[in-house]
Amino acid sequence: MLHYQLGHRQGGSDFMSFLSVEGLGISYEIDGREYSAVNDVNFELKEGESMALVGESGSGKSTIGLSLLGLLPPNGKVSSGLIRFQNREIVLLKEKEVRELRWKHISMVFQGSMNALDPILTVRNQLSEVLKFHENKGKSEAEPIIVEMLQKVGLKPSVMNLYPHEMSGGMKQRVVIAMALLLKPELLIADEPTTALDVTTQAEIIIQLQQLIKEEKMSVIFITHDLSLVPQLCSKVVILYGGTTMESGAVDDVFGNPLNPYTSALMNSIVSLDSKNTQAIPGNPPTLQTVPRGCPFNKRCAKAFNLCFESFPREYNTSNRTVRCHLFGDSKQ
Amino acid sequence: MSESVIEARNIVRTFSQRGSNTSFNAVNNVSLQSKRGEIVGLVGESGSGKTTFGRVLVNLIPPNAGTVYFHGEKIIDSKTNLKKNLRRSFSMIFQDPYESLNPVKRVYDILAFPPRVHGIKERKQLDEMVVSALEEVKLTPAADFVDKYPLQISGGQRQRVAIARSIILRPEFLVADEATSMLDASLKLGMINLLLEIIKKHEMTTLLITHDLAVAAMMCNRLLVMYKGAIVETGPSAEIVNNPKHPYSKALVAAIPTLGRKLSLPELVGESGEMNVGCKYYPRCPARFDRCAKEMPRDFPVGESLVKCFLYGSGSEDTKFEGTGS
Repeated sequence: MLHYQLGHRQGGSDFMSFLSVEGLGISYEIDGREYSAVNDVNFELKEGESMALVGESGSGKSTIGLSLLGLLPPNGKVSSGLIRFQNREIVLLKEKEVRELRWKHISMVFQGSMNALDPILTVRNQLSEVLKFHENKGKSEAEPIIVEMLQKVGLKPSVMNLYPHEMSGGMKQRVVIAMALLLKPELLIADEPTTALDVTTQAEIIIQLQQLIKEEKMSVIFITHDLSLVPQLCSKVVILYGGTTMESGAVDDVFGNPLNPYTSALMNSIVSLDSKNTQAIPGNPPTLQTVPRGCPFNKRCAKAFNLCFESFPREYNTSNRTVRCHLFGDSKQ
Repeated sequence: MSESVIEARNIVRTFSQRGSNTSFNAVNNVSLQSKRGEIVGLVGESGSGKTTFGRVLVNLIPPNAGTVYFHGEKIIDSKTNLKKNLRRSFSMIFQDPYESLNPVKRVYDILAFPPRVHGIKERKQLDEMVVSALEEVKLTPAADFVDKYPLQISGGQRQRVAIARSIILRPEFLVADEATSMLDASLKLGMINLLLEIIKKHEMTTLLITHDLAVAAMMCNRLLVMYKGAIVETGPSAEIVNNPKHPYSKALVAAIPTLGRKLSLPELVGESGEMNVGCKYYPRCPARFDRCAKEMPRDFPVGESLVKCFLYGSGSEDTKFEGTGS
């Protein structure tokens, strides 16, 4: 823990905070070199709030999700910052303590539901395993809980007897959601829960999730690359790019008046039924190995000036949100 | 009719299950007619038969029934395969740029493969073709890419290589299968613009297969909406997007999330079950009535569109229904 730096913001400790992430940095070791995947990420989630983490591939969104559960792959580690969940410091917890937190308090719907289920287990066995492992409930005890949860996600109890290959993509996704909600966690992390699905199925699942969030009074972190899904589920949004937070605030504020040039470029490039005057963003998003010096968006940004290529911008607070961009600093052009 | 570059009439493609006698029509009586340079969109959800139809058109699989005509000449049916000298006029961009490029071949050899197959062996000519194809998809300078393996370039670049390969022989007819779906948000529009530019420049007749109605509406003049093997609605893109007529098209449009509008649940009655007789959409349709379960509706004209739904015609005559007819 020697080179572990604690975040130092605002001084006073906020005991009421549900989840707060401060100055989070995560790095991966690849071929003996350290690459920073997540850099100075800050956000806060209140109880019952739903927030979206939006970004393209390589933006660090899934890595952040995994770090909240202490599930980073062996070559990844939290190199700086704090993840405080209900007054517990997740980064400092022992594996055993994290395991108690996992699923019962924080659970996750993993990306690619198609592959998230064990192909040789029926839904019944798959779900009762969760109840056995975490709450030591036997089969007969588990059954009614499973039935109830399947019904909540819109599946018939008979689905319990099915193997993954006997189900459609939408059904598998619902089973995965049911599995994540089985122990009634306070925080649900949903990583691209509808990405591989057809639009009609996606709409059904999103609306189902809306209802579940309300009924179960859960807090939700919704990880997605699809901006247009954000207002459907979330009140708060964090825009990520190249491993860092570019802009965050209330959904209506950020989408109504994007301040970071990346956010507005992204919004202008969305192809949707009501999009007008769309404009493509030149270039490619950076990968782990190619994050540039300075602002990660500098090469593709129409408003970049020399400072953007020299120093990593800090976050600036405006009246209703946080923006990481030199345009909002004193030395702006 | 002679002005159409490609015409498919009543294509049927059946798949049978191994070890059983059951078979189902992945493509059921689908027709298409497109003029030179026209981009027609084929939209629908996974499993609707879009890709199968595309594969029949470029003769990767034979149809069980139906005929494909090229400049008015019959070229493909259940017994006739596309002649090799014509194959270079037909091309396809495959769904997944991660899987459709051979990982052990360099970009140069990936791109030089189609010309080599068609007898172009001379190195100088191949070089020229490869370089100009790479320039066309904006992978410049070409010298930076020719020696790379697919794993050494990004997803967006791989997709560009896949596009370059499909246009290197200057095909007249192109099937673009989900050419933009795998891309990140900030790259998608760039790829759409690139494809449009290339298609326009060479006046390629294109069938764009996508599940993304917004992309289809942006790129195509005309759309075909496919459900369980059949075209349920066809018409001008703007008409289908702004004023969908078939209950399935309505559900499809309503299900698309946009920033400015809350998602409404597509009104579905049940699971998407199988129908042996009657309308395939019957099990899910909110506007269904008895007749729909007994009889497959034919195409009824509504303005510039054709709609396969009894709400828009009675069957024997073309007297139109007023109201919803439930």
